[in-house]
Amino acid sequence: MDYILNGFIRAFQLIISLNKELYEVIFLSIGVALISTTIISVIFIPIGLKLGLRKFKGEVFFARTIFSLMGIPSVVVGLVVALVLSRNSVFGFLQLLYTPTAIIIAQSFLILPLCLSLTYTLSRSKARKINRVGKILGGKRKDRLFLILFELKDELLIIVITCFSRAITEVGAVMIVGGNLKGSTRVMTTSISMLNSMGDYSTGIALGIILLGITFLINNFIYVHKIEVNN
Amino acid sequence: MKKDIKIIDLKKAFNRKDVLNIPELTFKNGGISYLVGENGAGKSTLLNILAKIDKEYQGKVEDSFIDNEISLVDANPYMLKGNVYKNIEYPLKIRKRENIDESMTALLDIFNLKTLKNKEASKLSSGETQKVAIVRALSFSPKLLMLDEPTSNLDKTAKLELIDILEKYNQKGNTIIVVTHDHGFFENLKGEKIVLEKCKNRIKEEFKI
Repeated sequence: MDYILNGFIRAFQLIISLNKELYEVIFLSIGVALISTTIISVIFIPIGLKLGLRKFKGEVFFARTIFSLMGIPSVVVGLVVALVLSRNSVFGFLQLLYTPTAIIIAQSFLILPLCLSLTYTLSRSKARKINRVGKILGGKRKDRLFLILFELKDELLIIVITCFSRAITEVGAVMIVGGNLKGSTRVMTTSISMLNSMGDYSTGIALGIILLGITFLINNFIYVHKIEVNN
Repeated sequence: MKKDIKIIDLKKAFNRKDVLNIPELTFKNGGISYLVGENGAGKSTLLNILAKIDKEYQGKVEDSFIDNEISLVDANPYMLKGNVYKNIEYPLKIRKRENIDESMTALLDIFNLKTLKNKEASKLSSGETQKVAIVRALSFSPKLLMLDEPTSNLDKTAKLELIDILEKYNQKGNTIIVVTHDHGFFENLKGEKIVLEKCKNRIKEEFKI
């Protein structure tokens, strides 16, 4: 048990001493998760809202598909992205495999169904009502769009944070497409996995504490915000 | 001067079941019309069509109102986020009306809503919600006002207040269409009564391969 206690002590030492390598890993993790979340949110939140507002053929099939894709194993996503980006494949000429961009692509594909399905569900349950009120009160298309975004801003923020939380805690796909290269594609989750294999528990625990802290803060924020929204 | 609303051969179906089948119907401009009928007769559906929210139907609906001049109050109105003031102010804001503050003060005064103006809309009682929704619908002075079961959550005093408001509003030449089961309502406010009969929900012919 000593090594766990020592791990905690060493962890705090690393955090306080502003260890360069540790913080590089932290910032890269936050950076790639932020970029993938931003890309997916900007593209798929409007699409999800738009799809939820109208009735269309194949609606049930679409809903079933995106909900099913929410449970897709991350290693499968990683494998597909790695295959597509590998040297001899379609996008091999871009030389993106084992780069932070590859991690962003994998995370983006991973959180896409989450973002789309949550936004679509929200749109169906609430945006339709808001759109109707906007129409009834004489709002033009632009007025109604702003009204929907304003009315649902809290719920949409929760969706964005949920996607970020999913992206930053991801390990399987990131390990496959990033390769956990020191100083290049090493993020918190892949580092923890590697450090555990190496028996370097102190640094592993340090990263674990930080990752736990970030996810705890995010989930706590979501929980408090959800209560506020429900009230 | 607006023309009468004329409905010619209006048909509407949901899931291959007819919910509306009106060969001919006219709503007089500047008049008060009551739509009555049993549940499922298509009263609310007709209001949606007249409000130009539902455009998927067969037949003709001829009127001279533009979207901006029509207002509809749902049976269960949705309140926007924020307080009562923000809700009533919204239609005026999107129309970029001048002197909104003055108009709002007058509206809140006329409808006795001064005490509620800072109350969160989500915390209103069902009766208060209905009242605020009616005021919100009237705030921009629509030429055609439609109300779906407006008295379902109102007490006797509020009902009489509403009748008084609608009477004054109608005297200005505006058209009112009300869906209601409340006999007391249309006994106090004279208008034309239109009974919608429930469609025989015929299933259209199916072709089996």
